[in-house]
Amino acid sequence: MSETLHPMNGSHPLLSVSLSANYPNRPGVLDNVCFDVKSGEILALVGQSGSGKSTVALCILKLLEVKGGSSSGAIMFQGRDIEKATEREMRGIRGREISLVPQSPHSALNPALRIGTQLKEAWRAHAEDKWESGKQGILRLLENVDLPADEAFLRRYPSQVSVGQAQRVLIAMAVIHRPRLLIADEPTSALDLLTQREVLDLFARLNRELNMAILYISHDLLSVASLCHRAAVLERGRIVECGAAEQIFEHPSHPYTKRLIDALPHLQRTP
Amino acid sequence: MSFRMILRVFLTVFLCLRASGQGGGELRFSIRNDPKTFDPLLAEDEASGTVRYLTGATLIRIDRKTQKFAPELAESWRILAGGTSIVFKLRQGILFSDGTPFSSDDVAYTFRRMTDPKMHSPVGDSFRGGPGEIKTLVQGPAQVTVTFPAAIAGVESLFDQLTIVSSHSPKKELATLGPFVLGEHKPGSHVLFRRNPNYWKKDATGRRLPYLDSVRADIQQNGDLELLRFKRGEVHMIDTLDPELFDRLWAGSPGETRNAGASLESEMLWFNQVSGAPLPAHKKAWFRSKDFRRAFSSAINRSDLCRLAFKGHADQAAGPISGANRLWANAKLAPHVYDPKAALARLHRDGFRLEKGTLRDRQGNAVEFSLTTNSGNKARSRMAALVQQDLAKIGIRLNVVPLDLPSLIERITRTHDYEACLLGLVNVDLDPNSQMNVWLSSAANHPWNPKQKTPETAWEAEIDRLMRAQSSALDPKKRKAAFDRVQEIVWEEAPILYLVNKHALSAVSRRVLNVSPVSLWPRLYWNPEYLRVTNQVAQSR
Amino acid sequence: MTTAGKSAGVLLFAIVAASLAAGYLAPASYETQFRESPNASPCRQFPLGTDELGRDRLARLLYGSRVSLLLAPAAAALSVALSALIGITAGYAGGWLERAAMAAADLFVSLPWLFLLLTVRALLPLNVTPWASILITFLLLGALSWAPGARVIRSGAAALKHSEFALLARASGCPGPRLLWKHILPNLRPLMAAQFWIAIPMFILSEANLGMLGLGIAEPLPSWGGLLAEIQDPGRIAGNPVLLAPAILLTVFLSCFQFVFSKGDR
Repeated sequence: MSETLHPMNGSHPLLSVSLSANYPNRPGVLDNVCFDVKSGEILALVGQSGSGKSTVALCILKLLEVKGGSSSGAIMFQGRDIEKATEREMRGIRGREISLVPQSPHSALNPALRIGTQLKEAWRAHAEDKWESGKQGILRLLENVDLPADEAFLRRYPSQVSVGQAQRVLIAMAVIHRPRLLIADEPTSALDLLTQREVLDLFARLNRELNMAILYISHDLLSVASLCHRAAVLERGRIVECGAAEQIFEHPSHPYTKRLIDALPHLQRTP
Repeated sequence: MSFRMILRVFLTVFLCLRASGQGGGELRFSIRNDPKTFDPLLAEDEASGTVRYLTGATLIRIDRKTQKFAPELAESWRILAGGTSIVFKLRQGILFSDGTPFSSDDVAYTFRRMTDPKMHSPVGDSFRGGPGEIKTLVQGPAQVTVTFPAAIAGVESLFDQLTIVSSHSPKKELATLGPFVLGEHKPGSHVLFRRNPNYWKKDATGRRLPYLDSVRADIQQNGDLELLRFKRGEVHMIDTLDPELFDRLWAGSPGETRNAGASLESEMLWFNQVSGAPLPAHKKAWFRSKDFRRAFSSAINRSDLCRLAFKGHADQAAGPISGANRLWANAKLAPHVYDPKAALARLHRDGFRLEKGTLRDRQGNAVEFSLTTNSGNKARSRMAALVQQDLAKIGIRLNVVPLDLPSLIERITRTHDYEACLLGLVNVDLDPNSQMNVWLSSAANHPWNPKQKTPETAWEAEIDRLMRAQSSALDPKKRKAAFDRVQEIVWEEAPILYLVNKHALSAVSRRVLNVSPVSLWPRLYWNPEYLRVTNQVAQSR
Repeated sequence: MTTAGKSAGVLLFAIVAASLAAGYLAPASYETQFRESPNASPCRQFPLGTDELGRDRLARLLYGSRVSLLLAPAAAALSVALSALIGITAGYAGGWLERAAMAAADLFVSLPWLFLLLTVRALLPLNVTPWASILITFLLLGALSWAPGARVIRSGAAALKHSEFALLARASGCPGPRLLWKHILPNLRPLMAAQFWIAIPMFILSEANLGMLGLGIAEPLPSWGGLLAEIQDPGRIAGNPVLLAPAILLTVFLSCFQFVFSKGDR
């Protein structure tokens, strides 16, 4: 199946992954998972809970060790293998080249820090100039993600904002340094349908305006269908199917993919 | 004592006598710790001493009341051959508590056992002054002669510590000749003594002593709790009370307090005069100056120490021997007079000068040093604060450093890393021979400068000579003269400043009869065979 | 700020001001012994009476406040800072460093302190000025009491280390040390505040116990530990309720202090 992963237009992929990963108590979480993300593309990584989707995100950021896991293989990012990068090099990549939007907005925000402080911290990780200059950029960014761009908002604590606002703050934090690749790990699962829609629109806009590639990890096929260019289906640590999003939804080839799609009656009625 | 008081005492005695017709009851008091041993020949700590005193009998006792030697197991004794031997005529018909008879063999056996080097008996050490063997010669069941390798002055006083043990009883040292026998010992809780049914003493009416059925010594370390239990009637007497506790009891029930006057305990202060001590040379020079020491002494207001530190329950001390030791104290000595002006004048003569409130020596060093004392003793820390302020008046700055006792002892005896020390001293033994290890300049316990190879000063050499003289003279008058002179030298040279003698403060329940507190140890139960406890509280009205 | 908060603040200020202005408020010096009037009852000359040596209790209380109430919080802060440094480092680093730090904490808790303090006393010179003795006392208290707090903070830090926000901070490129101090530490503030509040009265009282080893505040300087030690003897309070003054002042001080300064801890 590896041929389906090759870039269709022949240009060099932004990210090319070929990975296996283990947890001490769960060997074979990822079993030679291979896929590419092209520059400016939105790739969906689809699968049930427990299929290893989040592990892929951690592997790419080389943060699997924090959770006690280990990985092997190659992660080619912009032509270099970051699987072999040092921790110091990875620190330069995380947040600047590759960003993460995590799953549950409220537990991903630090309850003891003000929103402004958390944004400032994300900015400070890769900037050395005066905060005043960075702050203006961040206020513009907040406006851009439809958040109140004022001091009062920056002074709030995470417990004082809504879930939707919290998710937007996380997205703003992730795009501060205009990364080439954004990894969004189930970013909408905690949101109500309307807010989901708005966040998905925001991703599409960021992708368009900043030419930012997005690895969109989700079990929600509906959002995948509306947002993504291509999709890869993950089952028990293996990629079972990969291709253009429409093609997968209209003509799923793998039985697992079929089962996933069959579970969505709406989609079947309106192909 | 007012007439009313006298009347009260009479009435009390009268009612007590009436109440004491029946059984003796149980006397309860507290001791601080568990006895370390029940073998009278090994006793060293106070609790073991209590066990020994209640259960044991000696050939000669020091009568705690008269401070004179009294015959006990020995009917009489004679000192022979210039003091090298002593002949005892023993009482007849006495039985040990287990029924085995007492005879001269037991005395001989006791000496053998006590002098056995393997025993490490503290009593044995006090008898074994020099080289040579102590011999006993049994001359029939009622006579025994003890011969020492060299004459021992005042040898009788040593016998007060020597409890006679049985040579052939199967119960070994638990078979005793004293008024009580050991009943049970629950470590951490109590020691129980029962009446010795075979005790030989009888009272004036011919009734066999002791009156008491039993004595219970509870282990209680906390003085406050001890007083609380006394007030509840759970213990009948307290041998030693703090001035605070004494006053508190006095406020509630003055009739239960007893003040036997000055005790043998002295509070004293001395300076480090060790030549090799880790102190700057100029400080050593101060401490080795007699004028400095005497000036320091006369800057201390001893009367305030008695009044404020001991709530009036202490007397000013004149010298090393408390007036409570009637025979040996030098009655001519008076306490150093409190006179800060004279003290300053004396310091001026010695090259010190007072500049802007600070005393400086010839080289201009400010006179400032530490006064160490043991922590946890309230009266002593009050004394330290008083002395500190007294000395500030003549420009001497004292830093009071309370230390735990073991650390303090370590500094005084081993490292010599201290400047001045405030401590108390208890003389249990009345005889100056027991103080050889304090006064001889070669002694390890010579406080201000121990273990000198040769006396470093003329006056210490003189003290050495006098102490040796008194220990070899047999004429009590000569001994007394020599020891009086020692006390005068100590008064004059002031290597140790004697501050106060604490009063012997105790508490006795109205239910205990025949108690007659004394200043010597044991203050309250020195006549245990005569004590009794009644059920009714004797009413004085 | 609420009225209650304001009044607590005013009271606190009054206590601190009174202790600082002790020289003006108390008619006598804390060390002057009026030997003719020991154990005096409150009167015009001695508003709180005198102690056993005839020293003015009011002066001793005010100077004692200066010594203890200002230094005990400082020592508590030192102790908490040490607990935090060691606890967070151990909790975050994990592995052998964590095991070593916790073994050290266990050891610290189980050490025969008495003997170690005796050694400390033996190493210190005998002649230290009373003010130096205070500083040593509270430095010691602060430096020696880190272990229990470090254990609590370590477990807090270890839990936070695996939190989502810590992961996100790392994913944003935040370096390890910065993650600790900027992200994890603020979450441990309530734990540290609790340690701080427990430590203050504990230190005030342990100061008196250190005095037993020659490490406490030296005569004639008064300290709260010393003043409070007088109450340990229950028989004395009945006759002289003025003895309770330091205990009351301590309670008022701590309540006000907590009220005013713990507002930030949500």
